[in-house]
Amino acid sequence: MGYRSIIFYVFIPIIYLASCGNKSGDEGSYASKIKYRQYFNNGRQLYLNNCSNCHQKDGSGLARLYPPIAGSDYFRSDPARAICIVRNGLSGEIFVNGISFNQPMPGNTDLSNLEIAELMTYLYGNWSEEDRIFSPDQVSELLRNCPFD
Amino acid sequence: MINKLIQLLFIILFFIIAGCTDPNNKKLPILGRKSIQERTVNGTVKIDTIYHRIDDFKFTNQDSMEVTNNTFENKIYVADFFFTTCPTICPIMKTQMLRVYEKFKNNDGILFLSHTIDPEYDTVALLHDFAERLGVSSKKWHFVTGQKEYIYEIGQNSYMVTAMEDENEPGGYLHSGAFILVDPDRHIRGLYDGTKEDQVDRLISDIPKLLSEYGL
Repeated sequence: MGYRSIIFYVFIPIIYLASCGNKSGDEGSYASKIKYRQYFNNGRQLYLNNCSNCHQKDGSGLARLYPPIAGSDYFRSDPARAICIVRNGLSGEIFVNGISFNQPMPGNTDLSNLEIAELMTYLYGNWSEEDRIFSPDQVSELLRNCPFD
Repeated sequence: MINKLIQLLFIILFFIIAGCTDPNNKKLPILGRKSIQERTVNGTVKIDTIYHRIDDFKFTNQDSMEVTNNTFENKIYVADFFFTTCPTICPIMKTQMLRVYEKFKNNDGILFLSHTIDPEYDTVALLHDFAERLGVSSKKWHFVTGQKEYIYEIGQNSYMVTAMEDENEPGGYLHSGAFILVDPDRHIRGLYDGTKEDQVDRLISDIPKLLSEYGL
């Protein structure tokens, strides 16, 4: 390989790659990735402290007593409802993936809107198809419309 | 000379290690307060050691059947205290107890006994639903209810665990997460923290020892 082709194949791509790192759009997505990771990690800690007793560390639930979150149609299909349940709890029979569950869940009234946003980010990122970040504003907006607030 | 000494050392070492590491030879201890009783038989004084025993009890299980000490005749059993709406340690305890149950459900020598400490809420019907949803057989695992004071008392005095109402606790009750292993003579042979996986592993490895001690 000649001297010129080394410049062509090695340095040009490096310069090209280095220059795109300076574009402001990518910096934004980098920052939002960091933010996502932060929400996700805090959410995991909140999950382990507040939820995993019943729903288990892997989100699989326990028998027909405590419903799963991982792979749960009930959870995935309605994030607004999930947010209300996290805050206010739930009682009565529900069906998750076609299976009946009827164990009351206590509310988590001491979780802040930010904490619920982090928790939801973790739950969605870990146990549903899509990664999405929930913001505290979004959470407080959705909490206002809870049926049993 | 040195060779023989080394040989001897190895033989001694072998016996020490072999002697220490055979856990099956070690009987589980009888827990609780012991008392010494003297009695006179034909003019000679005999000394008996009286071990702590589980009191007589009578509860109602999830099938409305009476559960007494006779239910556990010639069986060993694992007991605990819980309530169905407990948000804190009970779900972990039930997860762990289910692990023990799954391991020994086909063994006729062992039963399980869970007392509710919230009998006002945990009715027979509710306990029935709870057990069914947990997917366990009522022949093997009794969920019992009864008079509240009576349950607290037997918890405190017989099983040596704490169970009481406490409005400062989440869920309204303060109670221990202990699993208690009881032999056919009503002696407590092991206490384990039912919220800790490694302690429940120890229970799982102690159960066969107790079963074989009684030829079950």
